[in-house]
Amino acid sequence: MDDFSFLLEHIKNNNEQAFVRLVEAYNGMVFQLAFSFLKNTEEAEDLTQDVFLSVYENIGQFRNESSLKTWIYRITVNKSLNRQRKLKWCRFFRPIGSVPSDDKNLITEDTNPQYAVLNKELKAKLTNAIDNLPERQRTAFTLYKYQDLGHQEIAEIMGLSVSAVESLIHRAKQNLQAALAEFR
Amino acid sequence: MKCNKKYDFFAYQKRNISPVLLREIENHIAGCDKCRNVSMQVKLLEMAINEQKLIRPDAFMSQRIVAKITNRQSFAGILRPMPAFAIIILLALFVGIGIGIFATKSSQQTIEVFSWNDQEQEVIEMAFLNEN
Ligand SMILES: [Zn+2]
Repeated sequence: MDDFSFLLEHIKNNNEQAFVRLVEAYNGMVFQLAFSFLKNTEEAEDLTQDVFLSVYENIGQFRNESSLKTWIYRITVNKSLNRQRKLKWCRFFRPIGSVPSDDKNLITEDTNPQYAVLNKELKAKLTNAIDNLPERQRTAFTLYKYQDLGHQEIAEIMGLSVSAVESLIHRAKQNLQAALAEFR
Repeated sequence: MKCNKKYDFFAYQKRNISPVLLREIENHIAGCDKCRNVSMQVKLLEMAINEQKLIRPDAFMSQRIVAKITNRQSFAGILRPMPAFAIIILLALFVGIGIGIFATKSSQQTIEVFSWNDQEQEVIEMAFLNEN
């Protein structure tokens, strides 16, 4: 995907059309990454809106130290992890019998035949193994697997060295394989 | 039998390994239930990830987002002068109440109104009736 850094000055000068172009360029990327963390379309859309609100409000502080895309990725990762922590607490205190948010989303997935290869329980069980990884391993693995990013780009987003990212992905894979060994 | 081999089955599933290692893993999983199962589960996980990667936002999401953010900004613009406005209203309210209290106190001088009943006399209608 192209980097839309050239829109930056226009957005800083309150050009609404430039902001619209930025949202159109990156909303799919932000939504997909948010979904890969939250596994729920409503939550992912809500988070996407939150990310762009943050971009809109803080664009004046953006200093070109990274690309605009990397900066948006970083905001999305941070907000997704925060939301995920909050949702884990909500799930912990959820009243017995209430509908889990994941289930609501999986029903929508099932209405679309392209998602019907694996059944929703199996898919939830498998991807739940990713949710149980330590946060940095989960982040590196998600960016690597769901966004198909290279180690260098992940390192820039996470503010780590490339070797640290390689180590995180390696440990994530080993931990996932250990968890999956229990599945039949 | 407990197997302690630590192969990268993610790389194996993508055939992203050397031919030598590929042959080694294939020979190993032919005789190891545990690794064969892990390899299978990794394949299923890759499928689950690939299915989730197909999920896209609907075509109008960007419009909804822009509308919500710009509405919020204009609402915030309206709200920004609110603190000063609220202080002026509150001050006016306090001044009004103050003036009200002062005026009530100064008008509470000894204006006494006498009525028949205050003097424990009959009400006027009864006085007329008793005349007969
Ligand atoms: Zn084995």
